[in-house]
Amino acid sequence: MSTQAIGLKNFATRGWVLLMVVPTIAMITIFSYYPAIEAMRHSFYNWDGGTIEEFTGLENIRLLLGDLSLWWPLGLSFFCGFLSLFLDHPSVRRVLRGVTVVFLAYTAYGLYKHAQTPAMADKSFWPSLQWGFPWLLCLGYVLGGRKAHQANNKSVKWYSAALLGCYLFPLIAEMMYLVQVAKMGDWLFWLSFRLIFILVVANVVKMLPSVFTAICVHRLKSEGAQYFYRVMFVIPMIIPQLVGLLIWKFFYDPNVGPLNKLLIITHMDKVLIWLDTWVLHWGAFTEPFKPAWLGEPSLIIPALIFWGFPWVGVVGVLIYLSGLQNIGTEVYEAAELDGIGWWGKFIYIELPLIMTQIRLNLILLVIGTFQAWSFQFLLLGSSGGPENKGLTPGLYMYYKGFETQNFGYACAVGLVLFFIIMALTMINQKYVRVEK
Amino acid sequence: MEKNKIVEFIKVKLGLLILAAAVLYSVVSVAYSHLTFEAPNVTTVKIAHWQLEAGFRESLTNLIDDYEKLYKDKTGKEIRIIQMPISEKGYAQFINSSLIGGVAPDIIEQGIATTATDVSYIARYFEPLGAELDKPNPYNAGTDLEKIPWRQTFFDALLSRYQNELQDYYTIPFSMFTTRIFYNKNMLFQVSGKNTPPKSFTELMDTFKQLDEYNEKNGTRYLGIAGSKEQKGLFANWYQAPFFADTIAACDFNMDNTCDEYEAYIAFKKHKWSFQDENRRLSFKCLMELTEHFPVGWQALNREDSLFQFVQGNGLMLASGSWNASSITRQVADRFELGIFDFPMVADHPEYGKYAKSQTSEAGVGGGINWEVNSHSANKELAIDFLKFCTTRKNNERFNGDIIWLPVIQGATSKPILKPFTPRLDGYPSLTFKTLEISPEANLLSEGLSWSLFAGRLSLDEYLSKCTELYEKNALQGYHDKLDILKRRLKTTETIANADLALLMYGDNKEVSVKTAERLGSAQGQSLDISTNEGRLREVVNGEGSKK
Amino acid sequence: MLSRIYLILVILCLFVSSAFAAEPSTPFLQKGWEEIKFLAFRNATEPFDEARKRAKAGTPEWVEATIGLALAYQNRQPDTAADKKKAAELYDSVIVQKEYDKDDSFALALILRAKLAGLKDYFDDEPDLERARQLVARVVTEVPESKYADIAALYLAQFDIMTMEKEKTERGIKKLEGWLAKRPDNPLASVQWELIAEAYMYPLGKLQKSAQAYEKALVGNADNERTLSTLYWKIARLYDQNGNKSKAIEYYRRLILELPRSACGFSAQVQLRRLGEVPPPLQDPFKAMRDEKTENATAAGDAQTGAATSKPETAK
Repeated sequence: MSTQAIGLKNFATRGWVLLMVVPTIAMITIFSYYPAIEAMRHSFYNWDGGTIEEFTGLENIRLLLGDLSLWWPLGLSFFCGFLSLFLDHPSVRRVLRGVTVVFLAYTAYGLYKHAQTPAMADKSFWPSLQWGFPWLLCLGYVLGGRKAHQANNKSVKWYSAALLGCYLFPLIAEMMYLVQVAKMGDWLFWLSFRLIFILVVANVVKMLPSVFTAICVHRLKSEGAQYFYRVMFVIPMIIPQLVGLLIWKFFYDPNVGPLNKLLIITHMDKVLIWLDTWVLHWGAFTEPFKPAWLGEPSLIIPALIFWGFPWVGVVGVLIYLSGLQNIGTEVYEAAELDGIGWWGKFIYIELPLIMTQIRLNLILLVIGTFQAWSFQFLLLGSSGGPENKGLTPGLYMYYKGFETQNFGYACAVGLVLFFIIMALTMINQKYVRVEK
Repeated sequence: MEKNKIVEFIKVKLGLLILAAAVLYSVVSVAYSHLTFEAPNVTTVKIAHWQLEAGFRESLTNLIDDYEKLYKDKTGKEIRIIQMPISEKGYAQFINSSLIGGVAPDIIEQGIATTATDVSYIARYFEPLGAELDKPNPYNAGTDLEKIPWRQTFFDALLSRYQNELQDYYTIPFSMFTTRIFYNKNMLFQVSGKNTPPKSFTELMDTFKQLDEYNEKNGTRYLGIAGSKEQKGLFANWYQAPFFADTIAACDFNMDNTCDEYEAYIAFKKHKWSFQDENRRLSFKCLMELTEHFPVGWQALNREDSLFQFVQGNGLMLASGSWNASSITRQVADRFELGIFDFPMVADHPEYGKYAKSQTSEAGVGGGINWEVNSHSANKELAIDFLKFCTTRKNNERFNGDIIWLPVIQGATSKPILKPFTPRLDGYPSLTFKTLEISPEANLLSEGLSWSLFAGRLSLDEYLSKCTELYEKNALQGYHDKLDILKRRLKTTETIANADLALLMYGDNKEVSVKTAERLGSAQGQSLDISTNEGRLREVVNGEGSKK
Repeated sequence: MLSRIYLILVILCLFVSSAFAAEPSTPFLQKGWEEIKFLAFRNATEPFDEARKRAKAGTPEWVEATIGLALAYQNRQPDTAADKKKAAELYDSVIVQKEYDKDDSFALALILRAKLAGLKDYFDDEPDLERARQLVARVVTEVPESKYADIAALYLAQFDIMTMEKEKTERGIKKLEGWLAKRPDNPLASVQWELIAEAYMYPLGKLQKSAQAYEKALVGNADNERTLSTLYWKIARLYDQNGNKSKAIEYYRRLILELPRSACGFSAQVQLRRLGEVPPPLQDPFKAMRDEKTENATAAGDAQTGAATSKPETAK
């Protein structure tokens, strides 16, 4: 039985096969795409989650991001930055120069207009500065970027200097600008990213034990042992996440939990109390030793990071293993002939070959961390616990939607989050390279 | 050859075959359930709820069995009442989708789902029961309730179940709930040598002191209160809210004996209260005296944790509602003797008594487990009849007796253990004094601060000055935002009023009825509320300039 | 041959379309109102639109369909400016059409149009209270015999009071009091008195008058215990603050004695004590529950009176 493409020609006779896909497509549309599209639609509405909704245009986004006109310079400078990647083309140079002239004129106009308004005095310098930004960046790209491209062939020193001047400085300036602009909007939303950035970094580190475990299992000589470990890693998958959560909660329990008991038995409590008294000044570790890991403002982030120790993710290990299994024995034999040791094998053979899997995991991890909320909610409640340290964008979204009945705004938060995650995924795709 | 062909056919069309089999199976199962449950000679009434706790379904089944039998004896026709217990998580989806899709059960428990609780949906999907409630319940024939209107047979004449916006009754309750303290009798005796629970706040504190001494002497780690986040909330009702009675009276501009967020803000601007007031400080002091006897790290614990600690015999006391009485009784049966007592009052305390004179009155307590009747149901008369059957004195008593809940029909008796749950009459109608709640942002941040306060990482002075800062910064915007929400709520009422107005001309009822008048009045009241709040705000921020 | 078939087809088409055109608008109207009854405004749009197309302009059916369609546009969700504009146009067309034949539908269209003008209907909507006032004023003056006149009188005052300006509020109250003098028994009387009372309280601050207006509103609420509880409390407080002690005491007492299930009973007792009175005891609606099976209580529960008889065993 050979495979046959279904085209226009044989559609009449074979087309019915496509009917098989209809239920799947229908289900995906109804349960995945429809809610997502509805959420996007509702971010432009004032909506209480029930009957009452009114179209408010960009109002929600404006509340969230502040004055939207402050964002367009950023958008434009990103556009210029993108264009400058093609600076070698004369037509692009022309366009960029044209754009610069328009910006210049517009900036002059904007400054003139702002000078006219009486509000100028008390509105600080931001409104006037915003017009200058894209212009400055654009100029930087046109002049410096050009230089950088020319210098590319001449000397490394010039090239790096130009790169620094034309890409890095504008980028830093832009980030500073971003921070300022973000303050004009819903600062609680931005505050909620505080924990996320810490967790992303921690989670990246927490990926490593899985990689090492996978490699250890892969290098086992005995087939049987390999099989045994694989099975052992599959079994925990059937334990519901909630059970894991409850176990960890028990682990951290200040009164009956094993962690505090362990610390006392190993006399680590004395060390921690000393550290707290003389170095950290957290006031979290005192006599009698009963730290509430999930109840103390200063312990909450360390506790969240330590969560899941020794951080060997079940799915992660299996994914890496599947990647490692594609490596043929001849590669190892050749390496051994070249006298490469165990570390060399890891760096030159295994790591490059499982980069695809690592990248996939990285993307999933970033998305997962940015979306996380249920975990924080279950442990710390909707306000994110002590001093709101556990607040995440997802939790904020929940708070806005379910606690204040402002579902439209919650949808807008979701929409912005969607774009942020998309941007991060794109950056990930571009810069975490896979070299085969 | 033939065989090969068949194998080949199966190989090629396997997917299709599976699909066909699945479709066939679902058709058959749907047809089967139609034939069994919707047989032409049997009427089916479906009743949906999310009460999955032990005992509830059985109690309801007992009533259903009796009703089915009675109905057959009376009319000779068969009727089948099917319970549809649905988990709390899936309840909203189920009710929403089945109501909108027009295939909803005939009787639905109110709650969780928007379509079962939101006024505009209630008007759309549920049967107004006012007219039925004004007639006597036929199942009360032969008792002293025989001639009394159905509504009056309920302990509160369903006053709290009145749907103000729609000016009608839409629900029939089965049970009633209040909150008290459960305690471990054996532990109390062991620790203090007493058999009776503390009667005053001072006595309560003395008991905790004795417990601490006992723990120290014997090396035990018994908890005064098996505390958690929720426990703090429950105790706050009794040991924090009462301090604000006088403040509420001073801020009650519209004289309705309560104080809402708007009035609180206006009063703040008029310097009638501040976060540094003595009563506020004392209210925190009082509550913190209690939370000291909670377990370490209680702010990260929740309801189940505290319940677990208590039934394991690790805690002396636990605040909980009458809904939990049966499950706690069962769980501690072979461990210790359970007692229940009312929260001791703060009123006679030398320091606190100056402000906290009484708690919230329970005179107006309403019924729980509320049933609504689907107005699109073909059997709504039957459904209402079934609810009438269930709310006779005898049946309501039996239903609640089985699950150890409080009945709602006058004269129905309850289990002796529930006696301490009898509603208390003394007290103010409302003691909620909402301050930071006016702004979601301020509220979110203050919750984070309060965590630090109760963890001892922030002094009360620091906390209160931060609260002042938060309030001054966010309250005005919150006031505007809350007003916007009020305006949107008003739209629902106005929409109903608009429909009423048009139906006066083109509907069946051509006269301005009492109900229409009341609905118009309700819309009028809401809209006046908004303009009054706007007017008062203009008064106090005049000169400062309004933000919006 | 072909042309003949063509001819037959054309005739057939004409026949079919005329059959459709002849279909009356009544069933559509019925369907529309049925939907309105269940507040399904969006579903009502289509039938009313159909009915309006079928009816001849100016006929009662047309007026009915137009009002129905406008109502659907006015109330359907989500709220958009475009919908409200359409609704306003439709109401206006009815008002113009009925200018010389004023009846209930004219009054209805005016009132609904006034609500559209006077309330915030969509984001960025600026209510025009003056316009709304003028529209309902037309109902009161031009069709005073209509059943909508009482409602219009209420709205007329409401639109004035909503401005929260003293002169306008006084004007509104005066008009409404005038109307109530003429029609004291109209079905909306108690609602109207409540509005007057609220306005006297705020923004006018005339407590005595407010209390008196509330007293008049009591009549229509005689069997609504919940509302009565609020009204008694408000009247008592208002008289209390205005220095009318005897009246205040009367209403505090009535609150305790007449409304046992009111949550304000305790507060009323406190106030009576403050005024130097001995308050009557609270009536106990849960008396039966409190008293029942006292003999069992010692054994099973622990009513605070006596559990001393049975000593629990100490835990091991």
